[in-house]
Amino acid sequence: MRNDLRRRLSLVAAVLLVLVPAIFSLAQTSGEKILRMGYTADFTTLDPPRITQMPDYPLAMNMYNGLVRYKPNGLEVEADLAERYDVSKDGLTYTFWLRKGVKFHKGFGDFTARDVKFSFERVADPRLRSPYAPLMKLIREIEILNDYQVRLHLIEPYADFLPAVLAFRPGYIVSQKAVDQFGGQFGTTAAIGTGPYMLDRFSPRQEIVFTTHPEYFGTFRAGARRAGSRSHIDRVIFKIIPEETVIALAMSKGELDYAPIRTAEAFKLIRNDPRLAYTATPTLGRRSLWANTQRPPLTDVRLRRALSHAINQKELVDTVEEGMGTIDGMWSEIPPGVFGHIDDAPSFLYNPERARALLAEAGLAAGMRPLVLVFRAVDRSFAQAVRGYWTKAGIPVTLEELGNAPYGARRDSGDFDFLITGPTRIAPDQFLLPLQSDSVPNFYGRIDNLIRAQRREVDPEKRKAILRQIQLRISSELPIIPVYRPYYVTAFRKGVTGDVPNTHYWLWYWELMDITQ
Amino acid sequence: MLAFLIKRFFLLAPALAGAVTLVFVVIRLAPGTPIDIILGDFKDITPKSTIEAITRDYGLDKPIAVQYLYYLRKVLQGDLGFSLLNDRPVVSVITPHLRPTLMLAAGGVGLAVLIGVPAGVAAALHRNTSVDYGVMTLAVVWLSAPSFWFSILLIYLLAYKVPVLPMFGGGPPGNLPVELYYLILPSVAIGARSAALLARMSRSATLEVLGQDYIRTARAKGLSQRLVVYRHGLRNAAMPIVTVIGLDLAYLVGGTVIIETVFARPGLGKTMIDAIFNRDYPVVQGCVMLFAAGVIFVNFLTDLAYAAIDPRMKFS
Repeated sequence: MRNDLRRRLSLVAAVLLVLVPAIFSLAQTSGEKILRMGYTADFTTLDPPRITQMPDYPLAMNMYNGLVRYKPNGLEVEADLAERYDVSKDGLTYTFWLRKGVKFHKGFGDFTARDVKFSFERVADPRLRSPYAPLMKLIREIEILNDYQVRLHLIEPYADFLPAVLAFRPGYIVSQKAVDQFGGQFGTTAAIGTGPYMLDRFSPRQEIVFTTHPEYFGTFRAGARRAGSRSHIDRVIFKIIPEETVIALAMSKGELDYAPIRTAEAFKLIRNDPRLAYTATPTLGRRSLWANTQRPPLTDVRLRRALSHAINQKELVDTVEEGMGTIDGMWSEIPPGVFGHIDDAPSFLYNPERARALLAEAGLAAGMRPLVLVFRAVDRSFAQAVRGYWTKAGIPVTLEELGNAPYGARRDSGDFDFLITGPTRIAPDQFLLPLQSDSVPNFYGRIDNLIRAQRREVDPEKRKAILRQIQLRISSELPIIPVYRPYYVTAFRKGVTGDVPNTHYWLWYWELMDITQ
Repeated sequence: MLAFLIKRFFLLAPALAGAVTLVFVVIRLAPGTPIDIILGDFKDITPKSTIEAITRDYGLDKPIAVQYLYYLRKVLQGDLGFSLLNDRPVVSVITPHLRPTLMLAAGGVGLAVLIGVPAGVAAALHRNTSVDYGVMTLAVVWLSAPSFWFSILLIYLLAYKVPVLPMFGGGPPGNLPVELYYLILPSVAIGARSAALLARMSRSATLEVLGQDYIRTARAKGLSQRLVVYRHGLRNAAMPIVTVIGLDLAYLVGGTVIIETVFARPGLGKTMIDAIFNRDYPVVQGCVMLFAAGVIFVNFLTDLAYAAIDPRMKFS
């Protein structure tokens, strides 16, 4: 009897092991083009004024539109929900003529100027606790001239108003009807915008599914805008897999089509698989060491320059970071591709003799107290590499690794010699904000007035000149020691084409992508 | 029996309250605040006044005792609060993870019991033979293998090289047969370790019991080996084995972070750990409450099992 049962059970097991995968492959409805993305994090919120976690941003970018948006393949701004716009000479008045016939997702109605006013005023609502509130508060008044024309009056001119506010997260237009219906759960249980893709369903920590918005006003082909064209990609499914090496294996196996890659181990796996391709472009950030310039001996600029000369930047990128970066164009605060970047900022590349000479000049050749380098787990190998180079140059270093939250507390307290940082920003002003005297920690203060001046300068040439001045000052004083510009790597199965994220900052436009095999 | 159950039930409330209060205080004493996480990549270009306003709005500037009283009042009204990250009710953050967690715990322990206990008993019965050495060596190997490495190995061998099993995920929720299919590899990853533990435990428990006088008596009476071992021996050896199963099961309700991360499964463990790293206090408290309740409940089940195995326990 027992043997009989055992035989029956093994038969059932065998049948299951064969049937289940077969049933799975059938489940892919034929004819539909599905892009399967590998993602390491679930979304936190899809409510634009509350989006602060990077993984949420590319999702929102395809679900919402702003009055303007970043051009695909660049950071210049072009009209999106607005057909055209006009900026007054003094930079205080922005007038937008809105597109007609734009529909929100899932039957939530037509887009009009009222939705613009609602969306913008909402960002400044204290109940939302949005960090972008100060940006929106720059608007003194939102004037609705008619259903399809809106005029914004600013309190003071802000040169980056279009790229840093209207094209960015707080500028996305949401449906007032949907916010009223979903209340505080808008963004977590449902999210309604005007974008080419809409949130279909999601399973917490498992997957997020987007389908095309059948009434999208734009076109799904690159180039001309024609409403109603069928999209290339019908459905985008995000599979949430926290471990990147598993993502890489899944791509090799053919279970995923596309994934952003940030760890060196996963990059190695991708590179070694001939069925996969990848693009690697520099992000808009830099991996750098921020010095606490208030603490001796870091008050001495010669020491800071010596520390920069002591690191073999190229070698670090090629070995520790598996070549996922470049050292070109990193010496100016504003990176290449962003307005205001300068090519001739002073550089302090690897040069051990120069490092030694500077240390001697500063009187530190005999030795000094250990420099405390505070970092998070994600920067561990980088920190160890830096310590290696500095120790070789005769500079003692103590490493302190902290979790994300304690790291923030430590930074706020100012109790460190160096932090490792490298956030990506998008508008020139954002790159300079951390160097103001009221930011944390207090690095400088001697360029506050210059930073304020460039922010208000609406004449591009004049602004460029101020930006140049600021960057030359910062680069020579080196409160921030750049080491390299990390690459943003996306891996994809051969056959996925289109606007593979090229530039920086995770700008993805799924509407421009396609799967050819 | 009923009095015993009622007594145990009334111990539940203070135990839960104690656990939640302790965690409430400790996590707020840990360095770092939720604001660092909430503001994400925008924190260092947010003006200080905005940061302060947001902190006040969350009530995070109040002393811990005051925050606790607010929390207590809400909990007693059945409100577990909202996630600091995105204002989702804590209940809806945690609920989707309950079923997969329980399934994984059951799967892991189930596998462990099915494999570990018979292996350990067999090792004890064939003491000092190759069976014994084989089982014990395997047990040590599996106990020492880091679960991260073992999980990736399983995925690589059985989901990639020989693609029989799924690589990641928990399967479409609600579709039980498919969910079970997705449960196989993670259960093996967890179960292997628990099985090893149980094998060692079963072996020593069985050995101890087999050395007792009443076993000798039973043998002297001429009872078959089967009756001696299974009827008289195992029943007595079951107590420590059941204890270990209970402890293991309780641990698995919230301690499976690594498995959940590598296999990309939803689960209470990863939810709790992520919430701790994010300093998402309300979610941490909700998870701890659940975890504590789970442990207490499993202890309760273990007590019931004792009572079933050993009639003497019913009256203590």
